[in-house]
Formats: sequence, C-alpha cells, structure tokens
Amino acid sequence: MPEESSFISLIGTHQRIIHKVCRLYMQDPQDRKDLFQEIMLAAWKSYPQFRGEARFSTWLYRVALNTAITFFRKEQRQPITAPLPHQMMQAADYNDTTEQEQLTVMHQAIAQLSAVDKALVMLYLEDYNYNEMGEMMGITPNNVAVKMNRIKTKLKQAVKTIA
Amino acid sequence: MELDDIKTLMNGALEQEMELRSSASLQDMLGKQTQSVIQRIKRSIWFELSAFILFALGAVACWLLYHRLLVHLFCMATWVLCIAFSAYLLLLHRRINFYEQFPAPVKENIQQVIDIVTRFTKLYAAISLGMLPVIYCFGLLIGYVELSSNGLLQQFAWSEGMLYAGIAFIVGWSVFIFFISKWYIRKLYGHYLLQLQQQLKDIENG
Repeated sequence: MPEESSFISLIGTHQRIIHKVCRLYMQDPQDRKDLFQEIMLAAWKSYPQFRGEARFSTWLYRVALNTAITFFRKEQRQPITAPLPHQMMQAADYNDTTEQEQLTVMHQAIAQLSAVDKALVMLYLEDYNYNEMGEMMGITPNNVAVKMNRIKTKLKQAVKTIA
Repeated sequence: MELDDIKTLMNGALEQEMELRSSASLQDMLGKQTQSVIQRIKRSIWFELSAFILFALGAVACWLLYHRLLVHLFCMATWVLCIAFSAYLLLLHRRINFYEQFPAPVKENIQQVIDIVTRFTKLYAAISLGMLPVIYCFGLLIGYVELSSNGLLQQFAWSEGMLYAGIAFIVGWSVFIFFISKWYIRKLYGHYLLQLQQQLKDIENG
C-alpha cells in the first residue's frame, strides 16, 4: 500500500520523537515498548486524516503526547516516579562528571512532575515557542508561560532537595 | 541549576542509546492489537451488540413458540430495549472512531477520553439494570405459560411463604448484580478515570 509505505517512511525519519516520549514517560523497558506500539497504532489510525497542514513532527508530537498521557498502565508496572535508571546517564558519553550529575538530578526532578507538566517540558526542550505549545496542549500561550514559570520553579526546588 | 542551563544536554541525553527501529519492525507493529482503554471499550461494544442480537433472536423464537398476548408484549419490550441500547452503542462507536481519526490538542483529548469512558460506564450500568427486569419477567412469564398449558399450575401447591421467598430472591439477586456491576466498572475504569480527571485539573489550573 502506498499510504502504508509513506507512513512507515515518515515514522522511520521521526521515530526519535516517539522514543523520547516513551523514555520520558515510562521507566520500565516493557512499558516503553508497549507505549511505542500504542503510539504507532494511534498515529496509523489518524494518519489518513493528516493533511500536512502542520509539520509531521508537530502532528506526531500531538499523537505521542496524547497517547502517553492517556496510556493505560498495568498495575504491576508503574509510571515513572523514581529517578531514571542510572545506567542511562552513565551510558551517555559525557566528558564532564558534573554535567552527568546535573543531568541525573534534573531527570530525577522531571520524573516528579505530573504527566501534563512533563509534556510541557518535552515541548520546551524541543524549542517549540509558547504559541505552538499552547496549540498542542489546547491552552493559551499566556497559560503556557505561567505554567512554564511554575514548572521551572518546581524543578529548581526539586533539584535543590535532590542535590 | 535551572532547566534552561542544561536544555541542550537534556535533549542529547534523551536521544542517547536510542535503538532505532527498522522499517520492517515498524511495519510489523501495525499488525498488532492495541491495548488502549478506548480499544477495549470498542471491543466491549462489539461484544454487547452481539449479545443484543442474540437477545432479539431469542425474543423472536419466543414470539413464534408462544401465542400469548403477554409473551408478545414482553418480546416487543425486549426488542425496544435491544434497539435503544444498540443505537446508543453504535453512536458511541462512531464517536470513538472520530476520536481516533482526529487527534485533538492534549486538553481536549483528555476531555474526550473522560467523556467516552463515562458514557460507556453509565451505559454498562444501565444495560445491567435495564435488562434484569426483562430477563426475570421473561423467565416468570414463560414458566407460567408452560405450567398453565400443561395443566400443572392447578396441581402446584402455592403458599404465601413461597411467594415471599421468590420476591426476596429476585430483589436480593438484583441488588447483588447492581453492586457487582458497579464494583466491576469501578475496578476496570475507576482508577483510570480519576487519573484522567486529575490530569485535566492539572492542565486547567494554570
């Protein structure tokens, strides 16, 4: 099917987005796999209606965040509430140990945020402006600004507590 | 240390160690079944629609077997209930399809999921309770018709105690089913709904 191959090709190019969302929202590797699968299927179902009015990456972010936020978690496996696995940070090729520590602490702080706040942080890290973030989240840019200020304060306090 | 200070590093860290998937592996995923709550509801809708078709067919069989006005009235009541519930289920199914095809912004998306799950749970409770009286009345009516047509009703030794025991059983059983259904719905969707409502609150307060 030409539609299927174009979809697979686009997802192949943008799959980093899905990986990032899964990594931010799920701690358990199996949960990440399940979420990846759910995002793929959700995107595939709505792909026929994708008219290219927005960038594919923006559209995929919307689908991925929606799926992650409303994802049903099996009781045995919980959403990320603890720090990200330490190995992840160690595996990263950072020269500076201070940078590694800073990243670990910041990840721990982000892990304490709510699912909605995590979505905002994700979009902020991707350099979306407040207008675009507002559109994706369904809130006004002013609201995004207020929320981002609160999130930054929360993170600052959490970082202090963790460090 | 603030988020802005390590924004670039954070981005890099999230991309580290990503096991990028091949096109074949991505394609393979499209054939698998989703585990989402919405999909589970969709599957339940098909199951319940099949159950209503069976109920309606059962009512057709009763209509043809028993030529009594009361039986025919109950058959008609069953059809009306089956048609009403099925129409509602089909509308809900259509709503889910729309939800799946047009991804809304996060806030609206959460509201839509809450709405779909709430509608489904309410319908589930209504079906459990709405169909109960029909089933009991059907059972009693068919029993009465069978016994009276065989002349066994006159030989049956009725007592007031038996009547009360029968009524108590029906009421007790209905109450039991009501609470079991409520517990089951809460177990399946209660915690999930609470989570979604909390997320909606998070996004609205700001």
